[in-house]
Amino acid sequence: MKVSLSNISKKYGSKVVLDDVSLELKEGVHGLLGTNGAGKTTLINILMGVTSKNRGRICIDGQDIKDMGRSFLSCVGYLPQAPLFYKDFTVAEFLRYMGALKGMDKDVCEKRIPELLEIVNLIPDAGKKIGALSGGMRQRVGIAQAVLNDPGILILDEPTAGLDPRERIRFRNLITQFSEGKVVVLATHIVSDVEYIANNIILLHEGKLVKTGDPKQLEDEMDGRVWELSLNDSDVPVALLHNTISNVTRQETGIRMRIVSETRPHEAAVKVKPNMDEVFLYHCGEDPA
Amino acid sequence: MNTGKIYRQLLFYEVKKCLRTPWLPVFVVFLLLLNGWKLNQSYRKAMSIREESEELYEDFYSQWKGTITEENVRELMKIYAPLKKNAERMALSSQGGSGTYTSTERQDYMFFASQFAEEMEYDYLYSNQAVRTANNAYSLVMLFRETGNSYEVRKNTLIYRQFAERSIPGFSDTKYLEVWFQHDYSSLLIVLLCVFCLSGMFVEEKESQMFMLLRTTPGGNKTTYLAKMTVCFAFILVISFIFYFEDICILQGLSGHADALSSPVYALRPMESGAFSMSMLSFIVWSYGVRLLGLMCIGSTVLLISCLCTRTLSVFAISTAILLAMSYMQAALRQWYVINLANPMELLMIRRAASVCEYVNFLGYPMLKTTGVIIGGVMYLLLMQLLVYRTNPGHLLKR
Repeated sequence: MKVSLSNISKKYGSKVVLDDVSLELKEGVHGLLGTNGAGKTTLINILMGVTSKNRGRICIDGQDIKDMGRSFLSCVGYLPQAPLFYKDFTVAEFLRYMGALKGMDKDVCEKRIPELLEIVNLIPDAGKKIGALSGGMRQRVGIAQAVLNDPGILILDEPTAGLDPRERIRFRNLITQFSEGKVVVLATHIVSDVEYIANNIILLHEGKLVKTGDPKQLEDEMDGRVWELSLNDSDVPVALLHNTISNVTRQETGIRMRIVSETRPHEAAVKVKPNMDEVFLYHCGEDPA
Repeated sequence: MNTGKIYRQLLFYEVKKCLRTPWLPVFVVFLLLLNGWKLNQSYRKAMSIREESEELYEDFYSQWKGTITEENVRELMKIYAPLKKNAERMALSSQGGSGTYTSTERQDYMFFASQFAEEMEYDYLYSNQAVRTANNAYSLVMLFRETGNSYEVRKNTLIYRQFAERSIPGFSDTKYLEVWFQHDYSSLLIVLLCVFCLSGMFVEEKESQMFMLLRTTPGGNKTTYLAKMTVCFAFILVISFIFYFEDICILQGLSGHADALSSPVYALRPMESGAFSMSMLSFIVWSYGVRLLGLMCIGSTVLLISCLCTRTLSVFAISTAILLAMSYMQAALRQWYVINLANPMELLMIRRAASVCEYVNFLGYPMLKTTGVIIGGVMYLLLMQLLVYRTNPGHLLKR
C-alpha cells in the first residue's frame, strides 16, 4: 500500500498552517516530527478527512480518496490525540462498539478482540470500565481499536503524550508489532518516540516539510555539525550560549555541552556523532522562548 | 459494507449510552407516581361534590346516562326543581335529615345541579347553540359575499359547515375528561425527562473525544446520526406513551365510566367552540399525536444544543432556559399567534388552540389555527433535524 500526499495546503484565515506539503508514504513506520503548532495534527486531520484542505490531493495506491468515499475509512485505523472514550463502557464492550462502527462482521470482531487484548496485555482488564483505566491502559485500548479491522494504514496522533516512560516504551513496542505490512504514521513532538522505531522521519516546521529520510541518513547528513566540549563554569563564554545547545551535563569540574553548529564553536570543541534530537534541532530550530 | 447491519448494531449501543444512568428507571417510576398523585389531587378537587355521594351518583347516573329522554328529564326535574326553587333560602340556612339525599338540602341542590342538571342541560341545548352559531356564520357569508370579501366568505362557510350539524346524542360523565383536558403536568415531566436524558446525546462525543473516531469510521457519520435519532425519538415515544397512557388510565379508573369516550369532543365544555367534531377517544389519540410532535421538536432542540455545547451541564442549563423561555412566550404572546406557530410548547398545549375555532389567513385561504400550529411544528422539527445533522460532532466534512 502506498499513500501519496501532493501539494497539501491549508490556511486558517491568513495564517498558513500547511504549505505545499508533498509526501510518499510506503509500508513502514513514518515518524511525523515537529514542534507544537508545526501542522502535524492538521496534516493528519486532512488525511483522515476531518479537516478540509485548501489545495492538494491525497491518493491511496494511485486512487484519490475523494473518489473512494467511505471505503477509504475502512482501510484506515486512527488513534486521535488524548482520547478518553466512553468511561461507562467496558474495554471489551468498547471494542465491540468500534467493530460495529467500522462495519465489521460480529463473529470476526468477537474473534479478533481477545487476540488484540492479548497483544496489548489487557486480557485481565477486558471487563473493566474504561473510566477505571490508567492513561497507558487507555492508550493500549486506543491502539487495539485502531487495528481492530486490520487496516492497511494506521495513523497515530501523539499517542505517547502523558504516558510514563515504562508505558511509552511498551507503546512503542506495540506500534512496531502492529506495523507489519502497514503504512504507520506516528505524529509526535517527542523525538525518542520515533528515533528507534521509525523507518522514515518527516520533519515538519511551521507548516512546511523541511526534511524527510530514514533516521540514519538524517543523522549522517548532520556529520560535522555537532560538537561536544567540557568547560569550567567560569570559562564558558557568553557567545557560546548563543549557539544551539542540544544537551548540557553538569560534571564535577564544570559542564559538558553538545552544540549544533556549522562551524567549530570553541577551540576545545570536538566533533561527535549526531543524534536525532540534534537533527530535529538543526532543522526545526530552537524554541524562541 | 451493509449500512443497515451497522445501523442495527449501533442502535444497541446508542440505547446503552442513552439509558446508561442506572437509576433512570427508578426516576421514571418516581415521576409516574408523582404524576399519578397530582392527577388524583386534581380529580378529587374537581369531584369534591360527588366524592361524598359516590354511590348516589352511580345510582342516578346509571338511570339517566345515554339518550336524554323526556322521562329522564321529568325524573330529574321532580327532584331538582324544588331544590332549585329553595336554593336562595338554603344558602342562608340548610336543613339536614332523613328527607335529603346527601347531608343537607343545600348539598342536595349543589349535587344535582353540578352533576346532572347543568350537564344534561348543556348536552340537550348544545344543538340549538350550534345552530345559532351556524346561522350567524351563514349571515356573515351573505354579508361578505355582497362586500366581495372572499376570505371571510370562505372562513364563515367553513364555520357554518362545522356547526350546522352538531348535536350531543346523549348524557355521559365527561367531568373526568375535563380534568384530563386541563392536566399539563405529565407533559412537564416528560419534557424534564427529555432534557435529562437527551442532553448528553451528542455532547458526550465531544467530552470523550470520541467525535474524532466517529468522523473517521464508516458507521460514525450518517449511520450514527440515524441511530441516535431513532433512539431519541423511540425514547420520547415510549416515555410519552407511558405518561399519557397513565393519565387516561388513572382518570378512567377513578371515574369508572367509559361512556364519554364515544361522545363528540364538544361534549366537553372547554371544547364547546372548538372546530373539532371527532369522538372524545379520537381526540385523545389525536392530541397524543400532536403532543408527541411537540415533544420531538423539544427533543430536537435539546439535541441541537447538545451538538453546539462542550459540556453536558451547559446543555442542561441552556436547554432548561430555552424551554422556559418558549413556555413563557407561549403563554405571554398568545395574541401574537404567528410567533407561536413555530413554538413547540404550542403543540404541547394543543388544547388551547383546539378549543377555539380560529383561522389563519394563508394565501387568502382560511387555515385552522391548529393546522397552522401542526405545520409550524413539522417545519420546526425538520429545521432542527437539518441543523442537528449539520452540527453533530460526528459530521464529516467534504474532502
